[in-house]
Amino acid sequence: MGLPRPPTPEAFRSPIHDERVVARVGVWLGIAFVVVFVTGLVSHFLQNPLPWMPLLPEPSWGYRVTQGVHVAAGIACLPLLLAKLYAVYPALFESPPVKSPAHALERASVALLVASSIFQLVTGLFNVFQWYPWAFSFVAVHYATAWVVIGSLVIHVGVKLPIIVRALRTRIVDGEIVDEGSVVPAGTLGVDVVAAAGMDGQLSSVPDGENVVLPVPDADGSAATRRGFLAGVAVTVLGLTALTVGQTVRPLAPLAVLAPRDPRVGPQGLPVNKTAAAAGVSETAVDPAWVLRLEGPGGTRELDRAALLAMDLHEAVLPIACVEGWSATARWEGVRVRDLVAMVGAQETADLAVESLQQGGSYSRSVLQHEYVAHDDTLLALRLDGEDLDVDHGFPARIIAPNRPGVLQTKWVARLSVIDGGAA
Amino acid sequence: MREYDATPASTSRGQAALRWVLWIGGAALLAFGVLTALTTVPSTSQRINVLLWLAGGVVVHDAVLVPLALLVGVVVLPRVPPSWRPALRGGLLALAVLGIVAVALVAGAATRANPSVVPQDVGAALALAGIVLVVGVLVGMFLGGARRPR
Repeated sequence: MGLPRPPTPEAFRSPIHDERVVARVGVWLGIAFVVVFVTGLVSHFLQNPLPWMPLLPEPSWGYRVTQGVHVAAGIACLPLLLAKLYAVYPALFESPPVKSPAHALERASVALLVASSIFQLVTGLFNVFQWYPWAFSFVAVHYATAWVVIGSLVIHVGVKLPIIVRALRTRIVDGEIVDEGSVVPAGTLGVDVVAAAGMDGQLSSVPDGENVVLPVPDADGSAATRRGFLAGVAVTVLGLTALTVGQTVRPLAPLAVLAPRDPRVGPQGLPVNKTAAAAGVSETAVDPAWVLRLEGPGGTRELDRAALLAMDLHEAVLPIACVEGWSATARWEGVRVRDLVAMVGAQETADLAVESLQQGGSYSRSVLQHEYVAHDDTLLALRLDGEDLDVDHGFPARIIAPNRPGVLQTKWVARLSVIDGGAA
Repeated sequence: MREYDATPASTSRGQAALRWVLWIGGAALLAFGVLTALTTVPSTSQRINVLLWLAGGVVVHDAVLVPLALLVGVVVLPRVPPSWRPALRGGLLALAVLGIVAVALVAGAATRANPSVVPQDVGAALALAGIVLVVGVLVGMFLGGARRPR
C-alpha cells in the first residue's frame, strides 16, 4: 500500500457538507463574531480611551454586561466554529489548489480567517482560565488579532456573498430545508441543478462551489441529517453556555461547573484576580503607618485610615466586573473621591492619577477620569459588605467606580494626585 | 462533474458593488490589525511565537480533530439506526468542545494563582459535564426515534 492520496471535495458524501448548512451556521457565527468584536472594543476603549471619547459612569452595570457578553459569546463561538469548519472541510481539498491569482488571494484570506479565528478563541479561552502557555503579551495580541479576524471575515463574506444569498433563500418547510426554486434566477445555477431541485430535495452540493448533483439515495434522510446537525449545534451552544455563564449571571452560578470563576467564591464572597501576595504588598498594605497621600493644586494632605473612616462615608452597591468575564455585585463603603479632591483644592472636572502600593506591573497605576471623579458612587472604598476590606480586595483602601473594568479599580491605594485642569 | 468554483460571480450590479465595498473595507480592517500587531508586538521572538500558535491551531484542527471526527463518523454512524445519528453527531461536537474546555479547566486549576481561580473540583466538574452530555445525547436519540418515519 502506498501513501493515501488526499481526498477530493466530492469524496465527502455527508449531506452536512452543504452550502445551506454552511450559510446558516455561518450567519450564527458571524453574528457572534461581531458581538464579540464590538464588546471587545468597548473594553479596549474603556481601558485606553481616545481623548475625544466621553466615559459614561452610567449605567453602573454596563461593563458587567458588555464584558460578560464578550466572554460568553466567545465561548459560544467554539462549537459554532467547529461546526462551520466541519461543514466546509471538503473545500480544503479543492483541486487544483490554486487556479488564478484571485483564487490564490481568496484562499489566503480563508486561511488567515481560519487561523486567526481558532487562535483568538483558544487563546481567549485559556486567558479567562489564567493559563498562559505562550510567550507573547496576550492583551496586545488579542486586540490586534481581533481586527485581523473581523477584516478577513468581511473579505470572506464579500467573496461568498452570492452563495450565501442563494443558500439562505432556501426555505424551511415542514421542518426541513427545501430549495426556493422560484427565487433562484435562471442561469445562476446549472440546468441540471435546477432540475435536481425540482426533484424533491435531490439537490446536494459541495459547500463553497457551484451545486453539483451527487447520488443521494435517501433525500428525506439528507434533509433530516442537515436539520439534525443544525439542532445539534444549537443544543451544544446552549448547553455550553448554561454550564459557563453563571460566572457572570449569579443565579446560574450553581450550574457553572465549566466556568473559571464562581462569583460567590473568594475572600468576603468575591473572587480575586491579584492577591496582596502576588502584588508584593502583603506587609505594606497592613502597615499601621499607612497614609493616603493626596496631591492637588491646593497642596498636599496625608490621611490615615482612622481619619478617612471619620469622614462622611457613603455606600454604593456596585459590581466588580473583570475583563475575564466574571462579575459580582457587592456593597462598598468609603469616602467619595470628589470629597477627597476637594480637600486639595481641585474641582470635579479633574482627572486623577491613582497609585497603588504595588511596585511595578501594568495595573499599579490608573487614571480615574473626571466623569468618574464627579460621580456619587465613585468611592475610595474602605469597607466591603459591612466589614473592613480583605487585604486581597485592596485593604486599606481601593477605588471602586461604576461601569468600569475591574483592572482599573486600583487596590492598595497609596496616592491620589490631580492631573490637570482641576484648579478650583 | 461541474468545476469547483470558490469565487462565484455576482448575480446583480448592486451585489457586485456591495462585494467591492466588503473587500475594500475588510482589507482596511485587516491592514489595521496587522499594523497594530507590528507596533504593539515589537519583539521578533514574540512575533514568531504568535505565528507558531496561529499555525498550530490550524494543524491541530485540520490534521487531528476533523480527521478523528470523520473517522468516528464513518465507523460508528453506519452501525446505528438513522434516527440516532443526529444526536450522536451533536454529541461528538459537544465532546470536542468539552475536550477543549477541559484542557483549559485542568491547566487553569494546575496553575491557579489564588483559590478563587477555578475553585471547583475539576474532576467532579468534568464528570458532571460528561453526564449532561450523555443524557443530552440519549434524549436526542429518543426524540429522533420517536419522530414518525416519513
